[in-house]
Amino acid sequence: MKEMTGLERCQAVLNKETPDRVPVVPQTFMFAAETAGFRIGDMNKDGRLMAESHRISQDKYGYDGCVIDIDDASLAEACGATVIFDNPDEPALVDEHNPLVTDLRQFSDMEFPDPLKDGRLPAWLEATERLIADIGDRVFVMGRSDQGPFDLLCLLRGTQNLMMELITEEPEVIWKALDWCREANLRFAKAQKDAGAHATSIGDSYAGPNLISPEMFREFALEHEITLCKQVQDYGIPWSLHICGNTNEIIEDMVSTGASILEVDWQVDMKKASEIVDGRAVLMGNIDPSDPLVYGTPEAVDLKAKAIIEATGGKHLFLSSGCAMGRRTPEDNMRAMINAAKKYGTFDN
Amino acid sequence: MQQKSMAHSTIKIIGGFLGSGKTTYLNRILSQAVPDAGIALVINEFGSVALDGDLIIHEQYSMMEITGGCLCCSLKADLITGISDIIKNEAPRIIYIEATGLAVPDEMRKTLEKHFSEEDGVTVDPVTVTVDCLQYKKMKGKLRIYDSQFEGSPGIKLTKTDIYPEDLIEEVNNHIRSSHKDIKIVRPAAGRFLFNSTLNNQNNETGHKDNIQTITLDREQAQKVKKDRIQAFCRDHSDKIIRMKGLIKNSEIWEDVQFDGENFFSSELKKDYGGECKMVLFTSDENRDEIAQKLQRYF
Repeated sequence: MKEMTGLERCQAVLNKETPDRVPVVPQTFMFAAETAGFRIGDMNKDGRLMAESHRISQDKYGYDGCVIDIDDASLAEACGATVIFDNPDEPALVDEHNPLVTDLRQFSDMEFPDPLKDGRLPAWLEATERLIADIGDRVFVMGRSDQGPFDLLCLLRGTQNLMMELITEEPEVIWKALDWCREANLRFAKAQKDAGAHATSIGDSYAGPNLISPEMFREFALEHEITLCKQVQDYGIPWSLHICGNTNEIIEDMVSTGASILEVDWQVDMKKASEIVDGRAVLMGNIDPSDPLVYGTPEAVDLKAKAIIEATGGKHLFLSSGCAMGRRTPEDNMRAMINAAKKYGTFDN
Repeated sequence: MQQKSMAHSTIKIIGGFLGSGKTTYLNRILSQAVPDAGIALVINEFGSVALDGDLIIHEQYSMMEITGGCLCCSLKADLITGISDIIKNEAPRIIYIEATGLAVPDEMRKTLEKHFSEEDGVTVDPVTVTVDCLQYKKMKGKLRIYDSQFEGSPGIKLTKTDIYPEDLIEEVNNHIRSSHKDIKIVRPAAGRFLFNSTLNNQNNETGHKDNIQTITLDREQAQKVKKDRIQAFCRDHSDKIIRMKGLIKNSEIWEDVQFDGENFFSSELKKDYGGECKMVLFTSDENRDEIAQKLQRYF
């Protein structure tokens, strides 16, 4: 088979066609910053530097897709939340001690953020535009729309407060607040499509089984993810759902959102997940970003990548880290992940 | 892992859900430690201002804060790297880790056990989890991350026991005992860091309002806070302020100031703190707006 570009490879998998090999789409915003010699704090308001970090890192390692992200606080900030930028080496954080809303009913009077104007969302979009212009003809570019409805609500209300209110507040009030957060995210997701992104995604990890039960996930988070997915994909861009942590219990629910891509973390059993998903979505994952990617050897990374490819048959798969790669990931470990796709993930058609 | 020093370090993880009293418990341990005890602290706060880290009694302890990053992944790498650095550079006798209330403490223990061993001169102790009785009654069995605090049968420390009715404490005690053998009841020193019993007068039968609100001063406001005035403000509104904690600087002296709903405490930091002034007040739902407005006038 003729060698494909990274973009062709990823699009073939998304189109349920057979690529020349398994594509590698690592989640690299911190690693890319380190590779480019930038500090997160110096680039988290600068779309040009964000794009440049990905361009330099992708050029050095030759992976197939870039995931644009800079922290979990940007959409919340655009909604009006206070954000803390006190550590230039780490992603910014939402000040949850001082939440934007003190009552979930306040959302009915709140304006939605404008992705073209508010906070640092324009910088994210500039990064997407620049990256698409520079390498988008050959590299898959996923422009995240930051946090999904449930995560965004946690950040705007304060996670501790919301966890309490999941038990004490009227479900309808929580539901309406989540609906506001879904709409806020939708606007950003559409803007990512308008900026040229090949796909977009949300992180909704607080809704995962590490924090709340599958029953609570279904009661509060799932329907909003389903609606958001349909709205985004109807707008013409594949949508990806990122829930890190142990999501073995909700893989079927994640598929039911209609997402084109499911980003799963290292605790997920890829063989079982692959059987459950059964080609209805692309699984993206799931090498542990800490061990082996930061602390293991290249041989350990190779073994894990091989196991993932064998567990899934290499089908409907973006080989990736389970979540965001650490900035201290050794160069040889990154190369081992990419080489594993070439060694074990080729298809002879 | 290879260590330069052969000194032995013991890692002790303190877990517990958000607001369960981990910082109180850690401060209690530190206040009883002898000078030069060889203690290092790792404070893992998630998604919040690192105020609790600042409030740790830390005159004679090294302290590292881990914030940011994803709960399940990059944070783990930061934790391992941070502890490796502490052991290499300081060879402390004990490393206390205050885990974020949204972490699973036993998962943290397993991660550390995988990376640090007796051969390296490191022991990872069983986890201790702090439990607020009222929170336990509200959340046990209802919220996954709350239940996850009890994974791996940790040692349990009940906190805030001086403000809850005995029957509530006994009920929770018995409930936990049914699944955990080594329960110990901690009765913290009265006053400091605790919700005050005035709550019992104004709220429901179990002692707390469902929602406690926070009012956080911004940096500019916190810089203007004078100890005498904030003490008077807290005293004048003691029926509405449940708790206040802050770090302020008056006349070039840093002070840790606290109000527990009844009493005001302040203590001078022996070292120059070197950070920013911070202050947060806790009120009930119904009083938040009033206190926030009065604070605006205060500034």
